[in-house]
Order: sequence, then C-alpha cells, then structure tokens
Amino acid sequence: MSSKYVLRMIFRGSGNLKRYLIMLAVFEAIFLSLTTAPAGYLNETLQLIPKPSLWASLNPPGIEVDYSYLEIRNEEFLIISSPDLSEATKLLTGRKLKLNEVSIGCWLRGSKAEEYLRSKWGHVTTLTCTNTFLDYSIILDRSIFKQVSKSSYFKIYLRASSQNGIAIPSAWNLANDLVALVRLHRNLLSASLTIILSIICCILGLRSTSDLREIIESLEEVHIPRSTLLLNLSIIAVGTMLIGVLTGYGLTSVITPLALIYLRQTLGIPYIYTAPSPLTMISTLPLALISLTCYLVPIVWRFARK
Amino acid sequence: MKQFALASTIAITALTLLSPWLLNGAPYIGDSWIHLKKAEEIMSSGRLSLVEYNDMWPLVNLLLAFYSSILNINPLISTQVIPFLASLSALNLYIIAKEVSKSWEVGVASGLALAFTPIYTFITFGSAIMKETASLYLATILMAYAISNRLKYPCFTLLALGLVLGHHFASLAIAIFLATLTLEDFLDSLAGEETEWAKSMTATVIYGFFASCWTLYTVFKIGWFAPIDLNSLTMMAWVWLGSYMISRLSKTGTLILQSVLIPLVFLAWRGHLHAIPTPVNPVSIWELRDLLVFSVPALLGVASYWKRRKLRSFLISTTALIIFSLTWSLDASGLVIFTKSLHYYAVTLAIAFGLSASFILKRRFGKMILSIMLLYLILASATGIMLALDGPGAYHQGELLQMKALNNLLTDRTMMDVKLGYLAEYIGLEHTSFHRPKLGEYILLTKTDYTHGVLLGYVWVKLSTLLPQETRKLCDRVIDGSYVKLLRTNVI
Repeated sequence: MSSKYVLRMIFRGSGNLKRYLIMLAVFEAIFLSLTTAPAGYLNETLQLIPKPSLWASLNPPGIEVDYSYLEIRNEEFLIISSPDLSEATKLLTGRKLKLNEVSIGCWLRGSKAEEYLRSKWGHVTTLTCTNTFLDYSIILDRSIFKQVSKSSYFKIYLRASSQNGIAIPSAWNLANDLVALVRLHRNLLSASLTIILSIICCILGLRSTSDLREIIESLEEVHIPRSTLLLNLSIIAVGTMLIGVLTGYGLTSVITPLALIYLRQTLGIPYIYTAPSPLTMISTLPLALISLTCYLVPIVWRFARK
Repeated sequence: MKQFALASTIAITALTLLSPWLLNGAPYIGDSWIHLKKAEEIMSSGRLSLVEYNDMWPLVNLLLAFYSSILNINPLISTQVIPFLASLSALNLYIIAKEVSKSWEVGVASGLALAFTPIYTFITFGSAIMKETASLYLATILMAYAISNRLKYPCFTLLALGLVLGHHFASLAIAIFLATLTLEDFLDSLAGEETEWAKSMTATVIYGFFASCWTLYTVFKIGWFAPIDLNSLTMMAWVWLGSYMISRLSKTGTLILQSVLIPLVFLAWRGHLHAIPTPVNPVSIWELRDLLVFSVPALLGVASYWKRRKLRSFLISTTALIIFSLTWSLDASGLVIFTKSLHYYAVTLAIAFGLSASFILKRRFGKMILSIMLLYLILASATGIMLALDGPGAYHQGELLQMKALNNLLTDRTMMDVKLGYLAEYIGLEHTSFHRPKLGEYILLTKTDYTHGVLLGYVWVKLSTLLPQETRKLCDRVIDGSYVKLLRTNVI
C-alpha cells in the first residue's frame, strides 16, 4: 500500500523522476540512432557487395603468381607469370584466356611494350579486355619471365577462399574497414555520452533531494518510515531506468526510419532500414546503470548525511 | 439543426460510399467477388467453412448471407450493406468527437472529414466489399464505446467478438487502441485524475483474450499471415512505445511528429514512397492545397485537445500503426500494410480535423468559415471520387454481363489481369495471370487495362509493358465489347 502511495507522491511531485526517465529515454534514443544507423547502413552495404571470391596471400597454399616490373624506355610495365598460368588467369578473370608465350593486356595494344616485345620475341598475342589489372599487364611464359626479371621477382598465392590474406574486390574490404571505423567511433561516442548523461543524472539526483524532503514530511504525517521510502524510491528508480531504456529503444525505432525516409526523399540517399537489434539495447544497459547510480548517489548521500 | 446536420452527414457519406453501385451498377474492388461467392456458398450449403484466408474472418461473408436471406434480395444487391454500414462510421465518429469536445458541430465535421479526407479517397476503402470495410463500423463503434462512460461488459464482449471475426488488422488496431487507453487512464489516475482505468484494463484483457485465441486458431489453420508474426509484432511494440513517448510528453513533440508524418503519408498514398511499378503522376500544387486545408485544421485540433487522454489514445495507436507500416517495408508488400494502416490513421485525422471546429466556431464568422471548409473538402474530394469511380478497382455492370456471356463461349484458359481474375473466379471462368503470351492464347482485356493499366495485386502497370502495342495489333480481336475485349495471339 505504501509503495502505491510513494509512487503517487513521486509522480505528483515536481517531476524529477519523470525528468530522469525522459532524459534517459532521449539519451538512449540519441545513442542508438547515432551508433546503430551508420554501422547498420554499412552492414547492409556489405550484404549488397558480393563477398570476394578471390584471396591473395604471401604464403601457400594457392596458385603461385610471380610478378615483377619491366622497364622499357623509362617506363615500367607489370609482368606476371605462373607455373600454372592458365589456371591463374582463370582465377583472376573468371574465364579461360588464350595465352601465348608472350601476351599483353588489351590496353597495351600499340604501346612501347608491344613494340619492344615484338622486336625481341617476334610474336605477341593481345588478349581481349577482362576489366582487370591484366588489361595493363604483360603475361609471360615462366622461362621468358625468369629471363626478363633476372630472377628478381615477387611471389603471391591466389586461392578461392581463405581465412587470411587480402580479399579482392577491394570495395568489400573498404566497407569492412568502414564498419570497423564506425565501431571505433561508436565506442568513443559511447564514452562521451556516458559522461554527459552521468553529469546530468547527478544534477537531477541533487535536485530530487528537495522534492524528497517535501515527500518525507508528508509521509511522516501518514507514518511511513524513511527506510520504506528509500526502498520504494530505489525500486521505482530501477523501474524508471528500465522503462527509460525501453522507451529510448522505441524512440529510435520511430525517429531513425522517419529521418532516413526523409533523407531519401530530399537528398536521394538510399533508404535501408537498420533497426537496432534487441542485443544492442542490452549492451546499452551499463550506460543506463551508470546514470542510475549517478542519480541515486546524491540522494543517498544527502540522506546518509542527515 | 443538430439532427438535420447529422442526418445530412450520414446521407452524404452513405451516398458517396454507395456511388460505385449507383453509378456503375456493380460492387467496388475485386475482393467483392470473393466474398459474394463465399456468401452464396454459405446460403446454398447452410454451412460455414473455415478453410482458407478469406474464410478465417467470416464477418463479411456472414453479413452478406444474412442480409440476403432476411431481406430476400439477390446476394449481389446485398453487397451494398457493407458500404452502408461503413458509412454509419460517420455516426460513430460523431459520437467520439462529441465525447471528446462536448460539441455536436465537432462531431458533424469529423464525420464529413472522414468521408472526404484528402489524405486518401475514402470510397476506395468504404465502398469495397472487404473484410476490412465490414469491420470498420465495428472498429469505430468499439472505439466510441470504450471511451464512453457507459461501458457494459456483455455488450463490449459481443462487439469484440464481432470485430475479432471481422479482420485481423482491425483487431490489431483496436487492441493497440485499448492498450493505449488503459495506460493513459492508469497514468492519469497516478497523477490524481478521476479515471476508470480498471474498467479499461478489464475490457482490454477481454478483447485481448478473444483476439489472441482467434489469431492462434487461424495461425493453426492457415499458418502465419502478414503482419502477424513475431518479428513484426515486436517491431510494432517498439514503434508504439516510441510514438507513445513522443505523444505523451509534450504537445510540441506531438505536433512535430504529426507534421512530419502527414506529408510522408500523403506521399506514400500518392505512390511516391514505395518501390512499385505503377506509373505515378507528380503531386500537383492543387493537391498540396487540399492537403493543407485538411492537415492544418487537423493539427490545430490536435493542439487544442492534446490534453484529453481519449484523443491521445487515438493519436498514439494509429500513429504507431502508420509508422510501423512505413518502416516495415517500402516495397509493394509494405504498400498493403500501409493502406490498411491508413484507414485507421485517417479516422484519427478526421476526428482531429473535426476538433478544430470548436476553435474555428469561437472566431468571428466561424460558422461560415467551417461550412466553407467542409464544402471545400467535399468538392476537393469529388475529383478523386470521380477518378476512383472509373479506376482500376471499379467494376461496371456491363463488365459483369459481358464476362457472364463469355463464360458460355470460352472453354480455353484465358489470360487476364487481377481485376478480371476476381470476376472470372466468381463466374467460374478458367483463367491465368498475365505472362508472356504463347501462340493461339486467349487474352481478356477490360476498359481499365487500356485507360489505367493492368492490375497486379495492389499495383498496376501500363498495358504496353506486358503486351506491347505491336503484339496487340497482330492479335485477332475475337470479341470487341464496350468493356471487355477478347484477343487471340497469332504471331509472337
């Protein structure tokens, strides 16, 4: 019965507990909107970009590809070779290429490189365009490659999938890096928001004490002990914190998608709805707990001092 | 004056909703034929079967069978009971608005605003013979009953049962409304106001029990159906919580949210938000003017009566529904949920518009200004109504007769759009949906296929997209009716 009475007193007071709830909800919404929307966008983008089917690594296993640079009249050209050249080019381009002992990419047709190679080896095959770096490269048979590179070349191993190594295409890598970057920013943001929220909650807690004095006086008239009030207040504050967190999550579910739809309509930014997962909400509970502590500490301190 | 105004409102609303029947001589929207067939089956067999989606909410089928039997009229004519009942929602809106504002003029303005809202063409919903339309009257009466101070559980239970058997989305909308009302009552009682929150809670529990039982039974019978699944319901709960927080906290927050939402709703209704293949005309300046004439008073109504928890309950529940529909998906499936949500959001906006009347009436020439505004809304909606009367959802008597005549001639499976498909299903004509035609295949086209496009579910695409002009020219024109044309491909 006394809890109901205390609850009524607190809600009918000047509303510092209500203000705490609102503050927590608004902060939660800001926090979730700022942290989940950009990361969510990038995660969604990652879903759209095909995962690389090709990985490059400095160590075996994989198809060995050797590369070096050939200087022709002060200009450097990429030369590549492999013990299994046809398989390597198939992995790089996705199709089988008709290779010769000396082949050049389509963008090197009529270049200094073609002229030079023709003068040295006679026949040079020009490959069809593949939209890869091979279009700008010279592909040589292994014996010619070793002769040209003078045994000073680099090795790389290509494979279809891997747990390590560099993934190709790089757009996927870029998006992955961006997600990592946003995660870092999210952590920084989380720290700064926690500090701001804690200070605000501490101020709200200090302000609550004057309200509480009035409430205590009126409770003493109905013979409700101070300890009961403190216990009830703690229960209500914890409840308020939980409601604040949930409401903040709800606010994010309203504000973020509406803002994203407006952005799409006005700026043409594609709309991808990125609802924060319930797990995100749980991960924000420490922030809420710190704020609750900051709210309750001044109250308890004042009470203890008395 | 009061009785005359109320009677005129109901008469105008009824006439508007019955206009597709009165002018075209056929029911509106393809669903009509499904439910007409179901009603005829119930009448002939004397049994109610619960097998597929359209059986599971049998209110509309039962209403058609019931009125056809007791009035001894053709089931086709009895379909018009549904738009007539929907038009009586204006009366419920009158009761709701009067309850909130204690002014009858507000009630009349709300009733008229519902029928002539520029947010969408109400007849496309109210004139249709659908589960949703059949539930509208019950949904609005339940809203009115729940906010009245004369709630009696037996009567409420009866209404709740009717609605639960009416339509799943209407049930969901009312469940959200009742939950919001209970919470509002409870929080206000904590703040020291006199409320009947225990009564609201009991009503919510009764309603929730029926709704959950029937939904579970339906899921058991036919499986999950959108938007009733765990993910969507969770998402809806969060959106509701967010809408509640914004709308409960401050008047300014509520007004900002509604000002943000109304243009989005308008754009979505005009087809500018969802990714659909339907050709969409740009929004004209005149449409924006109509929207302003409606939305500015509606916002004024919200601002004036924001402190009333009954209005807040309407606002929060329907706002949550419409935001949910916008965030759920912006593709063709999202459009379906959006359209369903819009029916309830429009009810709230109509009440809000009506509430602005009390503010306007206090001003100089208030009565005149309000009358002009209402007249303007009616005239502004007339264009939309006229377009809808000849739109892709409208059937004509000629269409029905020509299709019936074809039924005796055609033995082959015929290709047609969704609109004719519904009718073909009713009259028992073998049909297939639109696809790349094969040699010697029959294609049935109707007038709106040429004027608007081919109906594919909730959206329509230009006929030339599916059947280019050149292909059509090379087809044999087997039947060239005023509405229905039968083509046979001879060159592909």
